[in-house]
Amino acid sequence: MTTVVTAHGVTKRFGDVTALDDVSFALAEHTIYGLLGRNGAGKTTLMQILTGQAFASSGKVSVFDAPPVENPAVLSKVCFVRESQRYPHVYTVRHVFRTARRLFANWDDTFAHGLAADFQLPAGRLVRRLSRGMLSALGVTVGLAARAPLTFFDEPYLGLDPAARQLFYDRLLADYAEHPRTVVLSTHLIDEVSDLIERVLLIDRGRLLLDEDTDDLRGRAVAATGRAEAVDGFAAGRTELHRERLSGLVRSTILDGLGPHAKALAQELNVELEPLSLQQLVVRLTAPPTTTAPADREAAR
Amino acid sequence: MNRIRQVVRLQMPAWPQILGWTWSMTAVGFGIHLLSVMANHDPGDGVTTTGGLVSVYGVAIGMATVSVTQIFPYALGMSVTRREFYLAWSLLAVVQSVAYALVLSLLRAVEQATGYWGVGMRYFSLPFMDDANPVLLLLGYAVPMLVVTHLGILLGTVHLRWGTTGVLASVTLAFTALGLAAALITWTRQWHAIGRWLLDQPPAALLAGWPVLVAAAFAVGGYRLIRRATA
Repeated sequence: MTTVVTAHGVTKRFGDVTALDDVSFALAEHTIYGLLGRNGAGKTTLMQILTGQAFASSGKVSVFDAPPVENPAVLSKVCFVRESQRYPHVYTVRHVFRTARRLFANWDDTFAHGLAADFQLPAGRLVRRLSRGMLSALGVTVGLAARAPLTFFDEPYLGLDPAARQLFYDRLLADYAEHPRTVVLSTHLIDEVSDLIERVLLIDRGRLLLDEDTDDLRGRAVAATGRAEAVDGFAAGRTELHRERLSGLVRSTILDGLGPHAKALAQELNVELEPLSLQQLVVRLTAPPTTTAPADREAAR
Repeated sequence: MNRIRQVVRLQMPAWPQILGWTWSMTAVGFGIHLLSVMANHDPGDGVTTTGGLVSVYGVAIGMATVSVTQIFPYALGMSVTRREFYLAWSLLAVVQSVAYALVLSLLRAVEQATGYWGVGMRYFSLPFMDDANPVLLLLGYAVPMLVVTHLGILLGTVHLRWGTTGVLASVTLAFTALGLAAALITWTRQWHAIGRWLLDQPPAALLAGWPVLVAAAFAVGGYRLIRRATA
């Protein structure tokens, strides 16, 4: 498989804050990635560095075999739809489409206008007068119709209602099938996109926690529920991410080591195993150590 | 080059505003001057030089600054490089300077044909340019326009890097430096020598040659700043 992006030891510091800390990974051609992590984890900074919009403090980035910064040959194959993209004051939706058509080599005008109709985007309206949802729809439309070989969507769904989000996912998947490319989707709505993304990159406080196939991740963690001694017995020697007590029972989130042997052990100990959704796994991996009482935790869950 | 042309066209939606504001402000300034000159006009008077032309150049600074701060973040988001953006904006500055120079030359011709608007008011022409040939005249309008437009772009790039504080600080710094230089010249009694030097310059050097160097200095500064700018 061809590699389109490699990041090696990418670090970004803002004063004494380290936004990205020694991040290394590679992105393959024709794959949809989910870039996950909490607010402030460094997702946007990472995408800015990969698209040459920001500068890494140290480390090496290569996109289509070259550094992306100030590289027209690379950037002409890249589209970055940023949640906080600024548009000129005088621009209407139509102006955005016109300029995108001139700047993106693979731009499909018919597709763009079809998407605009689906999202009910008013062509003549000033971008600064668009609602939050329409602004997101505009970004999504540009990102899809640009058909850039490497496309980044930074939280593209803000303000989009569930129906519009589903429309985005459907159009993305359909167009991706016809025009395969590498897509990086940063999002908090993990369960919504878990069927869409083929591989997960999880960042937490500037560090890369996971870089794995979505299918592998789904089987990697379970919630084990049972009496305390039984759960202790099951969890022994395994990585426990989280533990909570509910009415005499203990519920433990366990990572890895879940072969057939584990299932037999669970049955023997009378411990109930449930697979963890991708979203629950991400929450458990990135949650700060809690100080709330177990009852509150249970309510919050 | 084709890419630069496409980047230049990012400016197109803003043209009605830029042209509209520049020339309507000029028209208002002209109208006010005309009214006040008319109010005091005596046929026996000579020709009054208002210097109102300066406002066209002042407006151009602001327009260039706003255009950079408005459009650069969008351009960067559309995968345009900083270099492409700067070259495009520099090219725009050249085109705009020549176009404005043509308009100003035309207005100057009208001014002279109407006997300074019938009331002896010089608005678009300057006395020291009276003997200039048409080419030099055009350069005399265009090159200073090129200087101020690049100054505006430079201020825009300062804004991209350090925000409003950066712009205010650098303007303050520039005034301080110019003020200190003036004080130093006075202190060392060099004004006379500088005046002489200026008078000794051929008109082409004074109207176009030296200003081009100033524009180039602003361009180098703006280019260096924008290369590290982020949106």
